[in-house]
Amino acid sequence: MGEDAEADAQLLRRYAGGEAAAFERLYQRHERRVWHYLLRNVRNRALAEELLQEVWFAVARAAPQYQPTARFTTWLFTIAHHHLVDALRRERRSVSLETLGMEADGFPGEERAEPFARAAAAEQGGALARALAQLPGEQRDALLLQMEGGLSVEEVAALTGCGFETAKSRLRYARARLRELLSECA
Amino acid sequence: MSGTDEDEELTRQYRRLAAQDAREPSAAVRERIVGYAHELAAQRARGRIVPLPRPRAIPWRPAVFGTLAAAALTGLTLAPLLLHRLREPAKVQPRMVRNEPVVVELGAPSPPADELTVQSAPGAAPPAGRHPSAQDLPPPGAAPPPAAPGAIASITAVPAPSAAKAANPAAPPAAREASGARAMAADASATPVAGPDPLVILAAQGASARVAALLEEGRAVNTADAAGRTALLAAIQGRHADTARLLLEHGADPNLADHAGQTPLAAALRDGNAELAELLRRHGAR
Repeated sequence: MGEDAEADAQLLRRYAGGEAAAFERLYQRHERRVWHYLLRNVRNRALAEELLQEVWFAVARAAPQYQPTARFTTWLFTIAHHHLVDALRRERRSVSLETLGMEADGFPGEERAEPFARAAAAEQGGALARALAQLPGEQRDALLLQMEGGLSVEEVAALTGCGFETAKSRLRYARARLRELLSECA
Repeated sequence: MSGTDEDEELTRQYRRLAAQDAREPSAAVRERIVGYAHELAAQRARGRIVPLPRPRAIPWRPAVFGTLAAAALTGLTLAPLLLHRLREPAKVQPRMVRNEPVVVELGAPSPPADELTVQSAPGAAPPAGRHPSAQDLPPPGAAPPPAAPGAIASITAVPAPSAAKAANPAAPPAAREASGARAMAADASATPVAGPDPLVILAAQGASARVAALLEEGRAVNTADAAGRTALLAAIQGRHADTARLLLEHGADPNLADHAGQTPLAAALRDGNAELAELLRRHGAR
Protein backbone atom coordinates (compact mmCIF):
# COMPACT_ATOMS: atom_id res chain seq x y z
CA MET A 1 0.00 0.00 0.00
CA GLY A 2 1.47 3.37 -1.00
CA GLU A 3 1.99 6.42 1.16
CA ASP A 4 -1.10 8.14 -0.14
CA ALA A 5 -3.19 5.04 0.50
CA GLU A 6 -1.84 4.82 4.02
CA ALA A 7 -2.55 8.47 4.55
CA ASP A 8 -6.12 7.95 3.29
CA ALA A 9 -6.65 5.05 5.65
CA GLN A 10 -5.28 7.09 8.54
CA LEU A 11 -7.51 10.01 7.72
CA LEU A 12 -10.53 7.74 7.66
CA ARG A 13 -9.52 6.17 10.96
CA ARG A 14 -9.11 9.61 12.48
CA TYR A 15 -12.51 10.61 11.20
CA ALA A 16 -14.05 7.45 12.63
CA GLY A 17 -12.45 8.47 15.91
CA GLY A 18 -14.35 11.75 15.83
CA GLU A 19 -11.98 14.13 14.02
CA ALA A 20 -14.26 15.82 11.49
CA ALA A 21 -11.42 17.76 9.87
CA ALA A 22 -9.90 14.46 8.70
CA PHE A 23 -12.99 13.80 6.62
CA GLU A 24 -12.75 17.21 4.99
CA ARG A 25 -9.18 16.49 4.03
CA LEU A 26 -10.15 13.12 2.60
CA TYR A 27 -13.04 14.65 0.72
CA GLN A 28 -10.92 17.40 -0.80
CA ARG A 29 -8.39 14.84 -1.88
CA HIS A 30 -10.83 12.59 -3.71
CA GLU A 31 -13.84 14.71 -4.56
CA ARG A 32 -12.77 15.47 -8.10
CA ARG A 33 -12.06 11.88 -9.08
CA VAL A 34 -15.34 10.55 -7.74
CA TRP A 35 -17.16 13.48 -9.31
CA HIS A 36 -15.65 12.83 -12.73
CA TYR A 37 -16.34 9.12 -12.45
CA LEU A 38 -20.00 9.75 -11.73
CA LEU A 39 -20.54 12.68 -14.09
CA ARG A 40 -18.88 11.01 -17.07
CA ASN A 41 -20.95 7.90 -16.54
CA VAL A 42 -24.37 9.48 -16.02
CA ARG A 43 -23.81 12.65 -18.08
CA ASN A 44 -26.40 14.43 -15.98
CA ARG A 45 -25.17 17.05 -13.56
CA ALA A 46 -28.12 16.90 -11.14
CA LEU A 47 -27.95 13.15 -10.84
CA ALA A 48 -24.17 13.18 -10.54
CA GLU A 49 -24.44 15.63 -7.63
CA GLU A 50 -27.09 13.51 -5.96
CA LEU A 51 -24.90 10.44 -6.32
CA LEU A 52 -21.83 12.29 -5.09
CA GLN A 53 -23.75 13.10 -1.92
CA GLU A 54 -24.96 9.56 -1.45
CA VAL A 55 -21.47 8.14 -1.93
CA TRP A 56 -19.83 10.46 0.59
CA PHE A 57 -22.68 10.03 3.06
CA ALA A 58 -22.07 6.29 2.82
CA VAL A 59 -18.34 6.82 3.35
CA ALA A 60 -19.02 8.91 6.45
CA ARG A 61 -21.42 6.33 7.84
CA ALA A 62 -19.23 3.34 7.08
CA ALA A 63 -15.97 4.88 8.29
CA PRO A 64 -15.91 2.91 11.58
CA GLN A 65 -16.33 -0.35 9.65
CA TYR A 66 -13.56 0.36 7.15
CA GLN A 67 -10.88 -2.31 7.20
CA PRO A 68 -7.70 -1.32 5.40
CA THR A 69 -7.37 -4.65 3.61
CA ALA A 70 -7.73 -2.79 0.33
CA ARG A 71 -6.73 0.71 -0.70
CA PHE A 72 -9.09 3.45 0.35
CA THR A 73 -9.69 4.41 -3.28
CA THR A 74 -10.73 0.86 -4.14
CA TRP A 75 -13.21 0.95 -1.27
CA LEU A 76 -14.39 4.42 -2.26
CA PHE A 77 -14.94 3.51 -5.91
CA THR A 78 -16.64 0.26 -4.90
CA ILE A 79 -19.22 2.36 -3.06
CA ALA A 80 -19.44 4.82 -5.96
CA HIS A 81 -19.90 2.05 -8.51
CA HIS A 82 -22.73 0.42 -6.56
CA HIS A 83 -24.52 3.70 -6.09
CA LEU A 84 -24.12 4.37 -9.80
CA VAL A 85 -25.54 0.97 -10.74
CA ASP A 86 -28.47 1.45 -8.37
CA ALA A 87 -29.18 4.89 -9.81
CA LEU A 88 -29.06 3.64 -13.37
CA ARG A 89 -31.39 0.84 -12.44
CA ARG A 90 -33.79 3.34 -10.90
CA GLU A 91 -33.55 5.74 -13.79
CA ARG A 92 -33.48 3.17 -16.55
CA ARG A 93 -36.37 4.83 -18.30
CA SER A 94 -34.56 8.12 -18.55
CA VAL A 95 -33.00 8.55 -21.97
CA SER A 96 -29.87 10.31 -20.82
CA LEU A 97 -28.97 7.67 -18.27
CA GLU A 98 -29.58 4.48 -20.06
CA THR A 99 -26.25 3.09 -20.95
CA LEU A 100 -24.21 1.29 -18.52
CA GLY A 101 -25.24 -1.43 -20.94
CA MET A 102 -26.25 -3.79 -18.17
CA GLU A 103 -28.70 -5.83 -20.19
CA ALA A 104 -27.04 -6.57 -23.44
CA ASP A 105 -23.50 -7.18 -24.41
CA GLY A 106 -22.77 -5.75 -27.79
CA PHE A 107 -19.77 -6.47 -29.90
CA PRO A 108 -16.66 -5.01 -28.41
CA GLY A 109 -16.05 -1.54 -29.67
CA GLU A 110 -19.55 -1.23 -31.04
CA GLU A 111 -20.88 2.30 -30.88
CA ARG A 112 -23.97 2.34 -28.76
CA ALA A 113 -23.88 5.88 -27.47
CA GLU A 114 -27.25 7.46 -28.08
CA PRO A 115 -27.56 10.71 -30.01
CA PHE A 116 -28.89 12.50 -26.95
CA ALA A 117 -25.80 11.61 -24.95
CA ARG A 118 -23.55 12.81 -27.73
CA ALA A 119 -25.41 16.07 -27.92
CA ALA A 120 -25.25 16.49 -24.15
CA ALA A 121 -21.55 15.81 -24.07
CA ALA A 122 -20.93 18.23 -26.91
CA GLU A 123 -22.92 20.87 -25.10
CA GLN A 124 -20.90 20.38 -21.95
CA GLY A 125 -17.79 20.71 -24.02
CA GLY A 126 -14.54 18.88 -23.99
CA ALA A 127 -13.10 16.37 -26.36
CA LEU A 128 -12.68 13.90 -23.55
CA ALA A 129 -16.34 14.05 -22.51
CA ARG A 130 -17.39 13.68 -26.15
CA ALA A 131 -15.12 10.73 -26.68
CA LEU A 132 -16.17 8.98 -23.47
CA ALA A 133 -19.83 9.47 -24.35
CA GLN A 134 -19.26 7.40 -27.46
CA LEU A 135 -17.95 4.37 -25.62
CA PRO A 136 -20.29 1.52 -24.75
CA GLY A 137 -21.40 1.69 -21.13
CA GLU A 138 -19.44 -1.24 -19.72
CA GLN A 139 -16.26 -0.11 -21.43
CA ARG A 140 -16.70 3.45 -20.21
CA ASP A 141 -17.36 2.31 -16.65
CA ALA A 142 -14.34 0.00 -16.62
CA LEU A 143 -12.09 2.66 -18.10
CA LEU A 144 -13.26 5.32 -15.66
CA LEU A 145 -12.78 2.95 -12.71
CA GLN A 146 -9.20 2.53 -13.85
CA MET A 147 -8.48 6.12 -14.85
CA GLU A 148 -10.22 7.89 -11.98
CA GLY A 149 -10.16 5.22 -9.28
CA GLY A 150 -6.81 3.72 -10.15
CA LEU A 151 -8.29 0.21 -9.96
CA SER A 152 -6.38 -2.73 -11.36
CA VAL A 153 -7.86 -5.09 -13.95
CA GLU A 154 -8.54 -7.64 -11.19
CA GLU A 155 -10.32 -5.02 -9.12
CA VAL A 156 -12.39 -3.85 -12.09
CA ALA A 157 -13.36 -7.46 -12.80
CA ALA A 158 -14.36 -8.12 -9.19
CA LEU A 159 -16.29 -4.90 -8.91
CA THR A 160 -18.20 -5.15 -12.16
CA GLY A 161 -18.92 -8.83 -11.67
CA CYS A 162 -17.23 -10.10 -14.80
CA GLY A 163 -14.27 -12.35 -15.37
CA PHE A 164 -10.70 -11.14 -15.53
CA GLU A 165 -10.43 -11.71 -19.28
CA THR A 166 -13.68 -9.86 -19.93
CA ALA A 167 -12.54 -6.88 -17.88
CA LYS A 168 -9.18 -6.91 -19.61
CA SER A 169 -10.79 -7.03 -23.01
CA ARG A 170 -13.23 -4.23 -22.14
CA LEU A 171 -10.35 -2.07 -21.03
CA ARG A 172 -8.34 -2.87 -24.12
CA TYR A 173 -11.18 -2.00 -26.48
CA ALA A 174 -12.05 1.10 -24.47
CA ARG A 175 -8.49 2.37 -24.63
CA ALA A 176 -8.19 1.66 -28.34
CA ARG A 177 -11.46 3.40 -29.10
CA LEU A 178 -10.68 6.35 -26.87
CA ARG A 179 -7.29 6.77 -28.52
CA GLU A 180 -8.94 6.70 -31.92
CA LEU A 181 -11.61 9.21 -30.95
CA LEU A 182 -9.18 11.60 -29.33
CA SER A 183 -6.87 11.50 -32.34
CA GLU A 184 -9.86 12.39 -34.54
CA CYS A 185 -10.49 15.42 -32.35
CA ALA A 186 -6.88 16.52 -32.37
CA MET B 1 5.45 2.28 -29.84
CA SER B 2 4.67 -0.75 -27.63
CA GLY B 3 1.28 -1.40 -26.10
CA THR B 4 2.47 -0.28 -22.68
CA ASP B 5 3.90 2.95 -24.05
CA GLU B 6 0.64 3.59 -25.89
CA ASP B 7 -1.30 2.99 -22.69
CA GLU B 8 0.91 5.37 -20.76
CA GLU B 9 0.59 7.99 -23.47
CA LEU B 10 -3.21 7.61 -23.42
CA THR B 11 -3.26 7.91 -19.63
CA ARG B 12 -1.21 11.11 -19.83
CA GLN B 13 -3.51 12.47 -22.51
CA TYR B 14 -6.54 11.54 -20.41
CA ARG B 15 -5.15 13.31 -17.34
CA ARG B 16 -4.28 16.41 -19.39
CA LEU B 17 -7.77 16.64 -20.88
CA ALA B 18 -9.48 15.77 -17.58
CA ALA B 19 -7.61 18.61 -15.90
CA GLN B 20 -9.19 21.01 -18.40
CA ASP B 21 -12.67 19.93 -17.41
CA ALA B 22 -13.79 22.77 -15.19
CA ARG B 23 -17.10 21.23 -14.16
CA GLU B 24 -17.39 20.90 -10.41
CA PRO B 25 -20.11 19.93 -7.98
CA SER B 26 -21.96 22.91 -6.59
CA ALA B 27 -20.88 24.52 -3.34
CA ALA B 28 -24.20 23.54 -1.79
CA VAL B 29 -23.46 19.85 -2.39
CA ARG B 30 -20.04 20.19 -0.79
CA GLU B 31 -21.54 21.93 2.20
CA ARG B 32 -24.12 19.21 2.66
CA ILE B 33 -21.52 16.45 2.48
CA VAL B 34 -19.07 18.08 4.86
CA GLY B 35 -21.89 19.24 7.13
CA TYR B 36 -23.27 15.73 7.39
CA ALA B 37 -19.82 14.34 8.15
CA HIS B 38 -19.34 16.92 10.92
CA GLU B 39 -22.74 16.22 12.39
CA LEU B 40 -22.11 12.49 12.27
CA ALA B 41 -18.77 12.87 14.03
CA ALA B 42 -20.35 15.02 16.73
CA GLN B 43 -23.23 12.62 17.22
CA ARG B 44 -20.92 9.65 17.33
CA ALA B 45 -18.99 11.35 20.06
CA ARG B 46 -22.24 11.60 21.99
CA GLY B 47 -23.07 7.99 21.18
CA ARG B 48 -26.06 8.75 19.00
CA ILE B 49 -26.86 7.88 15.43
CA VAL B 50 -27.55 10.60 12.93
CA PRO B 51 -30.49 10.07 10.61
CA LEU B 52 -29.56 10.34 6.98
CA PRO B 53 -30.35 13.80 5.66
CA ARG B 54 -32.73 13.97 2.77
CA PRO B 55 -30.73 13.71 -0.39
CA ARG B 56 -31.11 16.47 -2.89
CA ALA B 57 -34.48 16.25 -4.50
CA ILE B 58 -34.63 14.34 -7.73
CA PRO B 59 -34.87 16.74 -10.68
CA TRP B 60 -38.46 17.79 -11.14
CA ARG B 61 -38.74 16.96 -14.79
CA PRO B 62 -38.90 13.18 -14.58
CA ALA B 63 -41.44 13.51 -11.76
CA VAL B 64 -43.63 15.93 -13.73
CA PHE B 65 -43.46 13.95 -16.94
CA GLY B 66 -44.07 10.74 -15.03
CA THR B 67 -47.18 12.23 -13.43
CA LEU B 68 -48.46 13.53 -16.77
CA ALA B 69 -47.83 10.18 -18.40
CA ALA B 70 -49.68 8.40 -15.59
CA ALA B 71 -52.59 10.83 -15.91
CA ALA B 72 -52.73 10.34 -19.68
CA LEU B 73 -52.65 6.59 -19.26
CA THR B 74 -55.43 6.71 -16.69
CA GLY B 75 -57.46 8.93 -19.03
CA LEU B 76 -56.97 6.57 -21.93
CA THR B 77 -58.00 3.65 -19.76
CA LEU B 78 -61.10 5.28 -18.35
CA ALA B 79 -62.25 7.16 -21.48
CA PRO B 80 -63.66 4.08 -23.25
CA LEU B 81 -65.65 3.20 -20.12
CA LEU B 82 -67.09 6.70 -19.82
CA LEU B 83 -67.80 6.99 -23.55
CA HIS B 84 -69.43 3.61 -23.48
CA ARG B 85 -71.66 4.79 -20.66
CA LEU B 86 -72.56 8.04 -22.48
CA ARG B 87 -73.43 6.17 -25.63
CA GLU B 88 -75.74 3.86 -23.77
CA PRO B 89 -78.29 6.14 -22.12
CA ALA B 90 -80.67 3.21 -22.03
CA LYS B 91 -78.58 1.76 -19.21
CA VAL B 92 -79.28 4.63 -16.78
CA GLN B 93 -82.29 4.08 -14.65
CA PRO B 94 -83.71 7.17 -12.97
CA ARG B 95 -86.18 6.98 -10.17
CA MET B 96 -89.21 8.64 -11.68
CA VAL B 97 -90.84 11.12 -9.33
CA ARG B 98 -93.07 13.74 -10.88
CA ASN B 99 -92.14 17.40 -10.33
CA GLU B 100 -89.25 16.44 -8.11
CA PRO B 101 -85.56 16.16 -8.89
CA VAL B 102 -84.73 12.77 -10.24
CA VAL B 103 -81.97 10.94 -8.50
CA VAL B 104 -79.87 8.76 -10.73
CA GLU B 105 -77.70 6.23 -9.04
CA LEU B 106 -74.55 5.67 -11.00
CA GLY B 107 -73.82 2.03 -11.47
CA ALA B 108 -77.47 1.08 -11.13
CA PRO B 109 -79.20 -1.03 -13.79
CA SER B 110 -80.36 0.87 -16.84
CA PRO B 111 -83.79 1.97 -17.97
CA PRO B 112 -85.20 1.59 -21.45
CA ALA B 113 -84.15 4.30 -23.90
CA ASP B 114 -87.59 5.83 -24.36
CA GLU B 115 -87.89 6.59 -20.64
CA LEU B 116 -84.76 8.73 -20.74
CA THR B 117 -85.84 10.86 -23.69
CA VAL B 118 -89.00 11.83 -21.84
CA GLN B 119 -87.31 12.77 -18.60
CA SER B 120 -84.88 15.45 -19.64
CA ALA B 121 -87.37 17.69 -21.44
CA PRO B 122 -88.73 20.40 -19.20
CA GLY B 123 -90.32 22.10 -22.19
CA ALA B 124 -90.64 20.58 -25.58
CA ALA B 125 -89.19 17.15 -25.60
CA PRO B 126 -86.74 16.31 -28.38
CA PRO B 127 -87.78 13.66 -30.80
CA ALA B 128 -87.76 10.19 -29.42
CA GLY B 129 -84.39 8.51 -29.75
CA ARG B 130 -82.44 11.81 -29.88
CA HIS B 131 -80.44 13.03 -26.93
CA PRO B 132 -81.22 16.49 -25.56
CA SER B 133 -78.90 19.09 -27.01
CA ALA B 134 -78.09 22.78 -26.47
CA GLN B 135 -80.87 23.62 -28.89
CA ASP B 136 -83.35 22.06 -26.53
CA LEU B 137 -82.30 24.31 -23.66
CA PRO B 138 -83.98 27.66 -22.97
CA PRO B 139 -81.94 30.79 -23.84
CA PRO B 140 -79.81 32.23 -21.01
CA GLY B 141 -81.86 34.46 -18.71
CA ALA B 142 -85.13 33.18 -20.03
CA ALA B 143 -87.64 32.08 -17.48
CA PRO B 144 -87.92 28.37 -17.31
CA PRO B 145 -91.05 27.08 -18.95
CA PRO B 146 -93.72 25.86 -16.62
CA ALA B 147 -93.35 22.31 -15.82
CA ALA B 148 -95.85 20.28 -17.66
CA PRO B 149 -97.61 17.63 -15.67
CA GLY B 150 -95.40 14.64 -15.64
CA ALA B 151 -92.30 16.51 -16.84
CA ILE B 152 -89.10 16.12 -14.90
CA ALA B 153 -87.70 19.31 -13.34
CA SER B 154 -84.09 18.23 -13.31
CA ILE B 155 -81.87 15.26 -13.14
CA THR B 156 -79.37 14.94 -10.35
CA ALA B 157 -76.74 12.26 -10.43
CA VAL B 158 -75.40 11.04 -7.14
CA PRO B 159 -72.92 8.26 -6.68
CA ALA B 160 -74.36 5.05 -5.43
CA PRO B 161 -73.20 4.31 -1.88
CA SER B 162 -71.83 0.98 -2.88
CA ALA B 163 -72.27 0.27 -6.50
CA ALA B 164 -72.07 -3.45 -6.30
CA LYS B 165 -74.78 -3.57 -3.64
CA ALA B 166 -76.94 -0.89 -5.23
CA ALA B 167 -76.77 -2.64 -8.54
CA ASN B 168 -79.90 -4.51 -7.71
CA PRO B 169 -79.67 -6.63 -4.65
CA ALA B 170 -82.45 -8.85 -5.87
CA ALA B 171 -80.63 -9.78 -9.05
CA PRO B 172 -78.77 -13.07 -9.25
CA PRO B 173 -75.10 -12.89 -8.27
CA ALA B 174 -73.84 -13.09 -11.85
CA ALA B 175 -76.01 -10.21 -12.99
CA ARG B 176 -75.06 -8.17 -9.95
CA GLU B 177 -71.42 -8.79 -10.71
CA ALA B 178 -71.85 -7.59 -14.28
CA SER B 179 -73.71 -4.42 -13.40
CA GLY B 180 -71.38 -3.51 -10.56
CA ALA B 181 -68.19 -4.28 -12.44
CA ARG B 182 -67.53 -0.72 -13.48
CA ALA B 183 -67.87 0.57 -9.98
CA MET B 184 -65.48 -2.03 -8.70
CA ALA B 185 -62.62 -0.09 -10.23
CA ALA B 186 -63.38 2.81 -7.93
CA ASP B 187 -63.88 0.66 -4.88
CA ALA B 188 -60.34 0.26 -3.69
CA SER B 189 -61.31 -1.72 -0.63
CA ALA B 190 -62.44 -4.51 -2.88
CA THR B 191 -58.85 -5.25 -3.88
CA PRO B 192 -57.03 -7.44 -1.39
CA VAL B 193 -53.70 -6.00 -0.30
CA ALA B 194 -50.88 -8.29 0.71
CA GLY B 195 -49.70 -7.55 4.23
CA PRO B 196 -46.09 -6.97 5.18
CA ASP B 197 -44.06 -9.98 6.15
CA PRO B 198 -43.31 -10.10 9.89
CA LEU B 199 -40.01 -11.88 9.41
CA VAL B 200 -38.81 -9.18 7.02
CA ILE B 201 -39.95 -6.42 9.37
CA LEU B 202 -38.25 -7.95 12.39
CA ALA B 203 -35.08 -8.56 10.39
CA ALA B 204 -35.08 -4.93 9.27
CA GLN B 205 -35.27 -3.92 12.93
CA GLY B 206 -32.48 -6.28 13.91
CA ALA B 207 -34.74 -8.10 16.37
CA SER B 208 -32.63 -11.26 16.30
CA ALA B 209 -34.38 -13.03 19.17
CA ARG B 210 -37.80 -12.62 17.61
CA VAL B 211 -36.47 -13.59 14.20
CA ALA B 212 -35.05 -16.74 15.77
CA ALA B 213 -38.41 -17.46 17.41
CA LEU B 214 -40.23 -17.13 14.09
CA LEU B 215 -37.73 -19.38 12.36
CA GLU B 216 -38.10 -21.97 15.07
CA GLU B 217 -41.84 -21.84 14.59
CA GLY B 218 -41.13 -23.02 11.08
CA ARG B 219 -41.44 -19.83 9.06
CA ALA B 220 -39.63 -20.06 5.71
CA VAL B 221 -36.34 -18.23 5.96
CA ASN B 222 -36.40 -17.02 2.35
CA THR B 223 -39.82 -15.45 2.56
CA ALA B 224 -40.06 -12.07 0.83
CA ASP B 225 -42.34 -9.06 1.08
CA ALA B 226 -44.28 -7.46 -1.76
CA ALA B 227 -41.13 -5.76 -3.02
CA GLY B 228 -39.31 -9.07 -3.16
CA ARG B 229 -37.18 -8.11 -0.16
CA THR B 230 -36.06 -11.09 1.86
CA ALA B 231 -35.40 -11.00 5.58
CA LEU B 232 -31.68 -11.31 4.86
CA LEU B 233 -31.70 -8.32 2.53
CA ALA B 234 -33.68 -6.33 5.12
CA ALA B 235 -31.13 -7.20 7.81
CA ILE B 236 -28.26 -6.17 5.54
CA GLN B 237 -29.94 -2.89 4.63
CA GLY B 238 -30.47 -2.24 8.34
CA ARG B 239 -26.81 -3.12 8.95
CA HIS B 240 -27.74 -5.78 11.50
CA ALA B 241 -24.85 -8.20 11.28
CA ASP B 242 -26.13 -10.49 14.05
CA THR B 243 -29.53 -10.87 12.44
CA ALA B 244 -27.96 -11.47 9.03
CA ARG B 245 -25.66 -14.11 10.52
CA LEU B 246 -28.61 -15.79 12.20
CA LEU B 247 -30.58 -15.90 8.96
CA LEU B 248 -27.61 -17.25 7.03
CA GLU B 249 -27.12 -19.95 9.64
CA HIS B 250 -30.76 -20.89 9.13
CA GLY B 251 -30.11 -21.33 5.43
CA ALA B 252 -31.10 -17.95 4.00
CA ASP B 253 -30.15 -17.71 0.33
CA PRO B 254 -27.58 -14.89 0.07
CA ASN B 255 -28.20 -14.43 -3.66
CA LEU B 256 -31.91 -13.62 -3.66
CA ALA B 257 -32.46 -10.13 -5.07
CA ASP B 258 -35.50 -7.91 -4.56
CA HIS B 259 -37.70 -6.80 -7.45
CA ALA B 260 -35.32 -3.90 -8.12
CA GLY B 261 -32.51 -6.41 -8.59
CA GLN B 262 -30.60 -5.55 -5.43
CA THR B 263 -28.84 -8.49 -3.78
CA PRO B 264 -27.70 -8.59 -0.15
CA LEU B 265 -24.07 -8.38 -1.27
CA ALA B 266 -24.77 -5.34 -3.45
CA ALA B 267 -26.53 -3.67 -0.50
CA ALA B 268 -23.56 -4.33 1.79
CA LEU B 269 -21.05 -3.07 -0.76
CA ARG B 270 -23.20 -0.05 -1.48
CA ASP B 271 -22.90 0.85 2.20
CA GLY B 272 -19.21 0.10 2.22
CA ASN B 273 -19.83 -2.50 4.89
CA ALA B 274 -16.92 -4.86 4.45
CA GLU B 275 -17.86 -6.97 7.48
CA LEU B 276 -21.29 -7.82 6.10
CA ALA B 277 -19.92 -8.30 2.58
CA GLU B 278 -17.35 -10.76 3.90
CA LEU B 279 -20.00 -12.59 5.91
CA LEU B 280 -22.19 -12.92 2.81
CA ARG B 281 -19.31 -14.07 0.64
CA ARG B 282 -18.46 -16.75 3.20
CA HIS B 283 -21.99 -18.03 2.72
CA GLY B 284 -21.72 -18.12 -1.03
CA ALA B 285 -22.92 -14.66 -2.05
CA ARG B 286 -21.91 -13.67 -5.52
